[in-house]
Amino acid sequence: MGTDLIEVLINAVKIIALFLIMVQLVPVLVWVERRGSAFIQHRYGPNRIGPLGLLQLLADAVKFLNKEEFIPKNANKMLFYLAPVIALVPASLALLAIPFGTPIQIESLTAFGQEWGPYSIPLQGAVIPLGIVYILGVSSLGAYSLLIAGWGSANKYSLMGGLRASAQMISYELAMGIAIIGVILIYGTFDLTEITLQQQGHLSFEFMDQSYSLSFLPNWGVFYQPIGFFLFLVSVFAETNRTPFDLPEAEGELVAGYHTEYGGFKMNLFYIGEYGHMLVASALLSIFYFGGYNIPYVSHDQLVDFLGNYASGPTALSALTSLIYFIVSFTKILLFLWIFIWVRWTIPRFRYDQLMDIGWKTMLPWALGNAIVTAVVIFVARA
Amino acid sequence: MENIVFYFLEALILLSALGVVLVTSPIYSALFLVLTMIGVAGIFVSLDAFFLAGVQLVVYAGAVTVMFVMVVMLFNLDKEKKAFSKGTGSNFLKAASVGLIWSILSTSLLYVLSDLGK
Repeated sequence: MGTDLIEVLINAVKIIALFLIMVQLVPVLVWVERRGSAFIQHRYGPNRIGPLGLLQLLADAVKFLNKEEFIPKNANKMLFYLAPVIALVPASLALLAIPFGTPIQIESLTAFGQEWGPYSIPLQGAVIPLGIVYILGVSSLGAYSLLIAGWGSANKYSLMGGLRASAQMISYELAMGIAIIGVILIYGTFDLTEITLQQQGHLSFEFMDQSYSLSFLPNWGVFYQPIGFFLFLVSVFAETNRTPFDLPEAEGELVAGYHTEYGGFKMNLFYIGEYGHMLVASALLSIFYFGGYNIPYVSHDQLVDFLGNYASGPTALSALTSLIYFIVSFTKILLFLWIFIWVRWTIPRFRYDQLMDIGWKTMLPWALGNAIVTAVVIFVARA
Repeated sequence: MENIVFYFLEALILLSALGVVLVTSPIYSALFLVLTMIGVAGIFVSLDAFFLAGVQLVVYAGAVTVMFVMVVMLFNLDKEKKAFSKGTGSNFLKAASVGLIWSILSTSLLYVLSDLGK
């Protein structure tokens, strides 16, 4: 909340801005997805409206808002309207806990005949000490929106899509949670900012009372947890219902799965939920395994020294540093979002029994093995 | 401030828990159960038990109740509703379960009261 009026206002604006970032990223991502898929498949994609087809986004938005509102005759009206709204909740709540940069330190100032400040504003919706648990807990509610949508629209295809989606989400949540255990064991904390701070500098670790250091690699989690990274990546694809795990909306079998009966703005809300999930997943991937907002080969002190030439006063310096970190963390997130799109248009979809086999018979044992090996190695290394 | 949050969560939990038992449609009652779980997680947060709140969300709201909702959605609900609301067999079961719960409650109350008396 904050201690005085300015801090409360800044925090409120910050939360609204975060939500707007998530919502505004969706049309851009849809454009990237359509252009990217065309690029991958040697087509043109939308290139007629505006430069590079960028105004297609606007046309799509207008179309979404102007569609006829339609409800199936036997649909459960309340649940039918409820599902798209719930689809937004988990992703936007989970986004709150993600740190995008170092806090901005604002010095005390005098305004309106009063002394304000000093403030420290974290680049994060809310500072949550148990960030990982919070994000896991909130995003596990994502299955309800699909289930309610599938059941509420009184359509067999929708129901099958909803059931598939929730079964898949529950199955892969296990592998995902256990893959994260490796990260938690190595960094010894649930705090996402703490995890990011521990990945500063170049690769260096202690093993059996001897310290090793490799100056040509950054100190990223992916070098400690390569298997964990791969498992987390795959299960995140399944959690967000993206290809190769997009069975809930397999158009050859289920028309469009749980959103078969949805059109217009309600459909758009499902899209925002899906892309919001992808955004959170990409942010988690970058924080756990790729150093979050840290810049590889550039330490925090070096950055501050360099920016000191351009900023006047500590407040401006702090704001500039945070801005650079924000840009770096968002670059990493956008790279992962591109990987989501890239995989979608490259790899074909699994069959349903293959999906369950991979989830329960392959991913889960590997994740368990990874967690146990990590625990043993850490025990040996620190003994 | 904390009082307001507490009373809000209490109201949410009590109302949705009542909804679980009073609503006739099984699907609504399963969804009310989710709301109850989320409310309990909120209570844990207000008691600074963040880990417990997260686990409450992941395990109960996220996994167990999703199973309930999924299974309920596979039923032909009209048939189930009829089977549970009519007939001597189900009436007998209802009366028996109400009696059982009442006897448990009254016995535990009596036990506590007699303990307090000492």
